[in-house]
Amino acid sequence: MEIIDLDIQKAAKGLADKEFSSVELTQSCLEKIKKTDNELKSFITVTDGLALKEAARADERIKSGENNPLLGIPSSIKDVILTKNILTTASSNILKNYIPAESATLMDKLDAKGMVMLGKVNCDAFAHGSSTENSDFFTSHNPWDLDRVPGGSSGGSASSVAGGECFYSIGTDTGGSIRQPASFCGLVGLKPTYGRVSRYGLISMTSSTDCPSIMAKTAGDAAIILEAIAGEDKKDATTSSKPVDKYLEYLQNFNIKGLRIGIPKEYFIEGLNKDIEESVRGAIVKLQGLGAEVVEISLPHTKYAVPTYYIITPSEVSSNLAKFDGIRFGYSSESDSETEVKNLMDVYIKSKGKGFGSEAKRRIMIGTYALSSGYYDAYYLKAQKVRALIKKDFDEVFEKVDIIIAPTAPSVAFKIGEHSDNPLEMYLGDIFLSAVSLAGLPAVSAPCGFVKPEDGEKEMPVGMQIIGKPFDEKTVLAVADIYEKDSGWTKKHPQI
Amino acid sequence: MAENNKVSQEEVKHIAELARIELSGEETQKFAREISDILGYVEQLGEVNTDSVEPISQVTGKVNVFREDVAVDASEETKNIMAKNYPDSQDGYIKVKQIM
Repeated sequence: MEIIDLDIQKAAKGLADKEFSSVELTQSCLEKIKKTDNELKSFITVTDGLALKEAARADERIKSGENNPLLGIPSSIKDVILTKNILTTASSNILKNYIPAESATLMDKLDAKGMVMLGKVNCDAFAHGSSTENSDFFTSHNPWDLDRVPGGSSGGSASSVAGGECFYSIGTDTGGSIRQPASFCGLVGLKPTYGRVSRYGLISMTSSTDCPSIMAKTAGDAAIILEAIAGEDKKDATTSSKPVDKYLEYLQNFNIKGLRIGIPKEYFIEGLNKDIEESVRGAIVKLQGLGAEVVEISLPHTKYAVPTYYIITPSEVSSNLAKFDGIRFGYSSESDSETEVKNLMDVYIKSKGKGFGSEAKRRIMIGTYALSSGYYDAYYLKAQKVRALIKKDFDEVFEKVDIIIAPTAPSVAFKIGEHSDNPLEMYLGDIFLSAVSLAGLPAVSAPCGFVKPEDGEKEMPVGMQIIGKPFDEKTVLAVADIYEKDSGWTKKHPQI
Repeated sequence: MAENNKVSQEEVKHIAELARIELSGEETQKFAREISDILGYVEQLGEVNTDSVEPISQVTGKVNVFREDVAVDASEETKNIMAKNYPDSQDGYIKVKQIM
C-alpha cells in the first residue's frame, strides 16, 4: 500500500470497507519511516509501539461500527505540542529530556477521534526559523529535492506528510510556519483564525499570534482536521465561543459564482520570482473562469508589517522563554558537572547561557531590550499601535472582497545552507506572511504549480495564499478545494 | 570593534542581566551589532502617525475572561511526571540553591 497516493478521506473509506485495517495502515507508515527517514529526517521521536496499540484500538472501534474520518488514521505532531508521557523537545537542547505531564487540548481532541500518532517531528528550535536549520538536533529535507529545506518552522510536519510517512501533521503558525513549508513541499497548510484552536499545551513562542495549524494533502483533509480540533477551551481564555462550522459539508456544497477575490498590489512587487508570480496569477485567472470576480485592492500599511513583527515577536518570545531557568524542568546548570554554580543567580544565568541556542538568545536579547524601562513606549507600544492599523487595512478591504489571494513565498524551497542573506528577499519572505499573523486572520497555502529554480534541475512546488475574514475558514478552504479539484496539483507526489 | 552601534556593549550586558542570561564576550559584541541593526530597521515605524490609535494586543476582541479562583489538586500521576523533570528535588519538592 502506498500511503503517498492516499488522502484521509480515501484511507477512511478503505478502513470502513475493510480493504485494510488501521494496524496495516500504521505498519505501512512505520515501514516507510524506516525506509526514508534517514534521508528525510522528519522525526525526532517515533512512537511505534504506542502507534500500533492505538491502531489496534481504532480497529476495534471501526469494527463496532464507529464512523469518523480520523479514526485509525496515522499522523505526526510537531515537537512544540505537548504529548503526555512522550518526549517533547521543541527541537531544543534545553528541553531535550522533557517529558510533559499533560497533553495539549488539541491532542486530547484528536485522541478522542481515534488518531494514531506515529511520533514527534522536527522544527526550528522553539519554532524560531523558516527552514528547520535552526533545530538544535538536525535539518529536515525536502522530499521533492533532498538538497533543499522543507521550509519551517513546521518543516518536519511538511517533510513527513509530503514524503508519504503519514497522512497529516499538526504544527503551528506564528508568522508563517505552516504556510511557508506547505508551499515549499506542495501541501495544503491551514493557519486558522487566532482563537479558533486552543493554544493550551503549545510551547509558546509569540502568544498573541501563535496558532495551532494543519499540514494536509488536500483542502478536504484540512477541513476534517479543523472540525476536530477547533472550538472554545476553558484552558485558553483567548479561544472563541463562536460555533465551529461543518467545514467539509460546506466544501461539498460550495458555489464560487460571484465570490470577490481581492488582489493586493503591495504583494506583487519587485523581488517576487517571475515564474511564481505567473503561477499565482494563473490560478487567479482559473478561479475567475470558474465564476469568481477579481478586485484590485490596496493594504497601505503592508510595508510596516515586517518591522512591527520584528518587535512584537522577540518581545513575546523573551517573556515566554524566561521560564526556562533551570529550576523546574529542562537543562539545568545545577546538574551539569562541567559548570560551576555557586548560587541561585548562577543557576539562572548559566542554565540559559548554556541551554539556549543562538537564535533563541538573539530573540531574548532583542525582546528584553524592547520591553525594558524607557524603551517600552518607543518599541513595543508603538508596534502594537501600528498593528492596529494593519488590522484596520484588512477590515476595510474585507468590506469589498470575500477573500484575498497572494503568493505564500517569494521563491521555491532554497538549498540547505544557502538561506538568502539578501535583505530584500528576506524581507519579502516575511512580508507575505506576517501581516496576516498580526491581524489574526485565517489563511491557507494551496499548491498552484511547479517552478524549476535557477540553481537546480528538479521542479519545485509553488503555493498561493488564500486569506479570509476572521473565522471564515470555510471559505478559504472551499476556494482551495475547488481550485485543487480543477487544477489537480495535489495529485502530484515526489518520488521518494 | 568600533562602537558606532546604537546599542553599546555595556547596554547589552545590562540587558543580559535583566534577562538573567550569561553571554560570552563574543556574544556581547555580536548582539550589540544585531540589536542595533534591528533598531535601525524598525525606526521606519516612526513614519506612521499613531497619535489617535489605540494599541491592540490580540485580535479576538475578547476582554476580561474570568474563571473561579480555585486550586485543583493534580493527580498523583501528573505530580510524578512533573517531579521527574525537576533538576533537583527532595521528597517530591523542587530543591533550589540558597538565595541569601
